[in-house]
Amino acid sequence: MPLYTPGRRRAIVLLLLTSVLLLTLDLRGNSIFDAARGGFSRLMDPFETAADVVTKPARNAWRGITDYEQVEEENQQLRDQLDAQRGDQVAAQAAIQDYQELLALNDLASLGDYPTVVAMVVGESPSNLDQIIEINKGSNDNIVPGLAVTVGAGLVGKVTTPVLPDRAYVMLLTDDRYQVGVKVVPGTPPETTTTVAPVGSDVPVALGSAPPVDGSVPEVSVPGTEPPSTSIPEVTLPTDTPPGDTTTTVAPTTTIDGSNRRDTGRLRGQGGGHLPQVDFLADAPALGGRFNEGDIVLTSGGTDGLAPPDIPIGVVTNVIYRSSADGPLLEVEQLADLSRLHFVRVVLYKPESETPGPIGTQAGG
Amino acid sequence: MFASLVQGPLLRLFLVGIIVLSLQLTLFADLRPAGVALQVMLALAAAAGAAGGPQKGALAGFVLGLMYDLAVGTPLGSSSISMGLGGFVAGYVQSITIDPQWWLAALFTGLGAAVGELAIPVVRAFIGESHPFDPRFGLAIGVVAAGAMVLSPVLVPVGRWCMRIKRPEWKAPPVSE
Repeated sequence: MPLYTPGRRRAIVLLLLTSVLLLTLDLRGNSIFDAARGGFSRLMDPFETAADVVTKPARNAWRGITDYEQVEEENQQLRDQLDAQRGDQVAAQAAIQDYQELLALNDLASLGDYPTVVAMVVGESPSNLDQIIEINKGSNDNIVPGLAVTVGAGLVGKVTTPVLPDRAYVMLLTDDRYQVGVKVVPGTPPETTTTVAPVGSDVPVALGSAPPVDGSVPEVSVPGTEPPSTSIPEVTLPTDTPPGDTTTTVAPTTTIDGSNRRDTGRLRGQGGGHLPQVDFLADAPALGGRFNEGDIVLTSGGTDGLAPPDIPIGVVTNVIYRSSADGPLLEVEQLADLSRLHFVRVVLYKPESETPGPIGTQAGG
Repeated sequence: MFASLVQGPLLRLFLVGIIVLSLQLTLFADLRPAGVALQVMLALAAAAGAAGGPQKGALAGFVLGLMYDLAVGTPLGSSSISMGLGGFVAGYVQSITIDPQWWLAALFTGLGAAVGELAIPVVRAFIGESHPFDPRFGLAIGVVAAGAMVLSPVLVPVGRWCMRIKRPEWKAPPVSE
């Protein structure tokens, strides 16, 4: 006898009620459902692997058709970026070393002090509503909901429910349910390039380098390494060579706010395809005019936050000044490329409110 | 009871559902026309409804939704409601015709898929998840519906096989003497 012989309406109402019942039980937390998820996940594994292998040519073809030009362009940009960053890296390493030494000297915890778990991304949500990925580590590796997830470039998101023994789901910071406390610190404005322009020439060239013969425009910028309150006055350098060709003007464009300001707010995801936004809760009107494109957004930590402080999130790309008393709204371009995640790092960090002693004593590994 | 389980639609639906779900999690998670993930599980539920009527559509949506929730980690039952609704709507509009042409079945499948996709944020809102209205979601509904229509020539026969639906056989009335 088929299962759905009762009247049509009764059967449909029964299905609806069953769904609501399951939903209610699951939202209250149910170990049987978690076990069922784990079992179903294991059942699906071979099918998923087979489908992955079989459909790979089709997916590659699709990517080839849709992404070719973008990949080529991006490749060129990355090469340029790599050239520029080789110089930055040396300066940055020295700065990091100094920073670590200072933290050690003052007995403060840094991000490297927290234990982490490296996990592989094994799936992404097929939904058009959620921005969620699946990783291959779970509660067996001490992963609990709420923990921050990072990659080398910065914050990716947080662990969300359900957490299975060997699987967990990560809500990306673009998900419109995602929120995290952040601080905004002055960064390098987009125009921050110190230039030397020969008189009569419209083309600026980098300070400290010889003017190129072919007229190309190299630019050197070392973010975060400039001294505070640096403002170089315009200088005219007389030389022995005839006027016109001989006078070089140093045309500075760098002015950095060295007031050590730090504003805290809340970053909220806005859904796929939209940049996350930072808004400010307290003293919002006073913040007008304080932010610039290029400012850096980091996690603020705090007593309740499950993300430790100072994880880089992104840079401010747009400052929206609202007419009401709401204060400015910052659009943030995340540093991590959320569309290409392969391995992530889950930070096993407990907030101060959950640790019995000083946070530095809890940290390890 | 065992015989009813084997002979009924659930076993077939489960087996086909696993294959379609594998494709959903691999191929269709990557193939995103206009940045929208096609919902092939929802399309299958709607196709079953377009082939067999509202009751079978709702049942197919319920089972496929449960499988989807178990695999993806969404609250168990949330996709059952949205997919069940999609299957029900596709089947309900199908019931206005006797034996719909393939293009009409495609239209019903697309309509069911659109309703199912639209129901997802509504169901999520009922369980306390706040998703601010995003105009882009309109595009997602359109693309999901169009994808379901394109896939329906394949999915409607598959749904018909899963739900053990036989095509109506029309016979000429006996000639009166």
